[in-house]
Amino acid sequence: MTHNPRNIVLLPHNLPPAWGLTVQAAAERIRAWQNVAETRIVTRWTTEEIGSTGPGDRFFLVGRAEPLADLTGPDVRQFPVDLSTLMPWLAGDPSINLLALLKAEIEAADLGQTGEPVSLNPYPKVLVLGHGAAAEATIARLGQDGLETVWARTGHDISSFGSPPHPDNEKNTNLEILPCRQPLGIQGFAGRFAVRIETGDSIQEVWAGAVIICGAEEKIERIPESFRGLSIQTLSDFEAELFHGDSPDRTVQRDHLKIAFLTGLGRATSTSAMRRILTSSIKLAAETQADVYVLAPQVKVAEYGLERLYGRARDSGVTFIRLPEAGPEILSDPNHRPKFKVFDPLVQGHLILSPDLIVWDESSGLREDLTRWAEAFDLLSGSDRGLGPDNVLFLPSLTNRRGIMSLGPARGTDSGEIQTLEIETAVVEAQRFLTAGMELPQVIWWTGLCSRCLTCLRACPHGAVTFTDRPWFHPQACLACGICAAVCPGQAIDLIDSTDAQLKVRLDVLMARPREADRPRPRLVVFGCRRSAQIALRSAPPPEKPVDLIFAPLPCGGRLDERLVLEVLGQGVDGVMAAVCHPDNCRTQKGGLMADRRVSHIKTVIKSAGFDPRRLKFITLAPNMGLEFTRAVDTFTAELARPGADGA
Amino acid sequence: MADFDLNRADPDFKHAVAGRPGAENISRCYACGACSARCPVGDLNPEFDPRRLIRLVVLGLKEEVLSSPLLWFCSTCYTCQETCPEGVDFTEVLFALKNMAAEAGFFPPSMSAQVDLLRKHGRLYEVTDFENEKRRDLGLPELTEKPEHFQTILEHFQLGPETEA
Repeated sequence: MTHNPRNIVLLPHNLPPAWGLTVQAAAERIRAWQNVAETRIVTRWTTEEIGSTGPGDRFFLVGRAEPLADLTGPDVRQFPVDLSTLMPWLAGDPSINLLALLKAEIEAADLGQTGEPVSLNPYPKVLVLGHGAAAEATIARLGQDGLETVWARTGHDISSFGSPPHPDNEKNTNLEILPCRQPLGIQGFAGRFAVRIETGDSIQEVWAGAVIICGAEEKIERIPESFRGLSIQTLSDFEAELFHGDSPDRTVQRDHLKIAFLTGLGRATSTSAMRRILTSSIKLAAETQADVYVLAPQVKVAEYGLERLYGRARDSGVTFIRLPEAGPEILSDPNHRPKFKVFDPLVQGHLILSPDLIVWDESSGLREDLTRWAEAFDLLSGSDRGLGPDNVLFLPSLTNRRGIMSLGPARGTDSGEIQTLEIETAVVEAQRFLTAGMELPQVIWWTGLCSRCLTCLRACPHGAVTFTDRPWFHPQACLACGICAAVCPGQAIDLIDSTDAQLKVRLDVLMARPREADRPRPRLVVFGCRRSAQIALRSAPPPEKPVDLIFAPLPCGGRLDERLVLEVLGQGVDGVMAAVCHPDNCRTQKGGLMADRRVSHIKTVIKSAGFDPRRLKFITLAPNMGLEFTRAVDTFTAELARPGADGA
Repeated sequence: MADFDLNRADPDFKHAVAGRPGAENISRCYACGACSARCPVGDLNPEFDPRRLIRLVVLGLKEEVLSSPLLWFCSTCYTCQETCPEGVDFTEVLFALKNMAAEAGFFPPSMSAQVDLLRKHGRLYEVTDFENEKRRDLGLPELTEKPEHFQTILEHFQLGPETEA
């Protein structure tokens, strides 16, 4: 390195007493290190107090989890050294560890990489796919911002789907419309996508910086086989009869006829279907003697007026029964009509109902076309088969691929209020990828180590890797999960700020901690995600049985490296645990899943080598689950202590 | 675990309950469980669960509700009523249910014992010389039992001597 930046250590004046070291003593010892220019003791972390900065200065903020907003200057960099990994109950000798860990952080900063900036030359165009109200509204919204738009319009007869064309779209001069039978595939990255679509008589390629998939509103009528023998009507037919029927002696007039509305099987209940059902059930309850039941996995009220309708339905005597997602159990009896059986958690028993008529919300069938679209765009589907993962962090319109958004029917929802939010977020997100500029990479690639095996290309869940004579990692498509770095057989890929060398420096310090001669405490290494396990650790109470616990933070579960785990096991620790985010809370969506798979794989590997696979454990945590963290450690040590576990 | 056949339930039961004074808001319950969480009786006897009772009423399971001894466990502390975010006056609902239970012939023996005390003494305990001596020491006037008023009231509500059986 030609330029040597100054390393400045900022120490809090109130060093926790448990570390057994006064701040003055710590400052003195740190100043003696060769790679530290100076130490400063601070009380309030203000810029005045911290003092001067020089070009290229690197500040190490001891005991802070976040960087300081005010601490700026030419090339000034900040390294918060969160010392939650040194909780008193964790550390054998806290004072030594405090300084050693800080030393490792400074060394790790020296080993950090930045990579060459990548220039971005996007196609300043948005491709909208689908038809119906969601597509019309999205295109109108893009038109407001004057964005060039290509509309790959699915469906042959738009008017038959009940959503009139948006008036603004007819005079939008930035809009190009292409008929689209179905999308065939996509190549490229956010900013530079090439989408192939089948137009009916040819295949066309559309170039766009961002893609918004709106899907199509359509009805799918399919009644499950197990419902055979029941009297069933579709919601549309029932509505037609209820609101427009002219025969006065309709069957629904019979006293205490039991009518059950059924919705939400196979996918999330939609607010529009819920509105129709509530409206019909209120009318039925008010004008007939029928007993009305609504059976649904969820009563959806997240749209204007629905809460009020729900209240009116309850007041008029409609009974709501919660269904399991798989639908009700059907009790069939050759002599009688089939019956529904549903567990009701409130009465702690099963409700049995044999309705005279079932009104089937036919829009709740499964959407098979979306499965094909998911394949074409390499997108993950949620449990309702909408495009986009079941992950709160990807709501309301993000998918696993940057620059591809999904909303409306394509997402699995199909109603006004929610759609507005989805459209707004999708348009804002799309604009991020339409302007030219420079972007720093999140991944470094070492040419000499790469054997061009394409493992990274196959493993990346975000479509961020492409290949010419070498792999390319697109900075805007990359979510920095570290999966590519962990799977690369040649160790040719590193994550910025979490390179192999950096992980090892940090871990070596902790592993170098001397062990007791008689080893009363088992030594555990926990590889934990910075976003969940490391935060949980801060609120974790001491474990029941004392344990020598070493916490190694990872940027994401996806970075969990088999080599590193095996190396640690080889150094004689008793157990290794991977603690990552819950599956639907992973910021990179697949990171935790990959960690889980890798732990299972290492188990098979060490088992075949004659070691006990119980020495490995995988858990998921939320950041607020400190207690669960400790419980998992307790369970793990208990398991290791059982006969047969060779680590004990 | 019990099965509840809704085809045998009484769909008008919830309307009948809601027709009683104080119980009008029963349909507002969205089963949040705030009442059950704070109920001190439920703390001692988990079977006493206001939310469950409301659900049984809404489902029309009249027999289960009215014959249940749980109705009579309530200590009328009104915590449920104070807590309910939807304004369901559960204590009042229980009064309505207890009245309906009594009308339907479900009347626990402890209650008839109390009615007997009222009929005999005009209060829920007998006034003896012991009480009156204490009162004299405190400078309070003596009490005499006047059960006739209560006998009239009880006769009016058809809670006559036959409940003794």
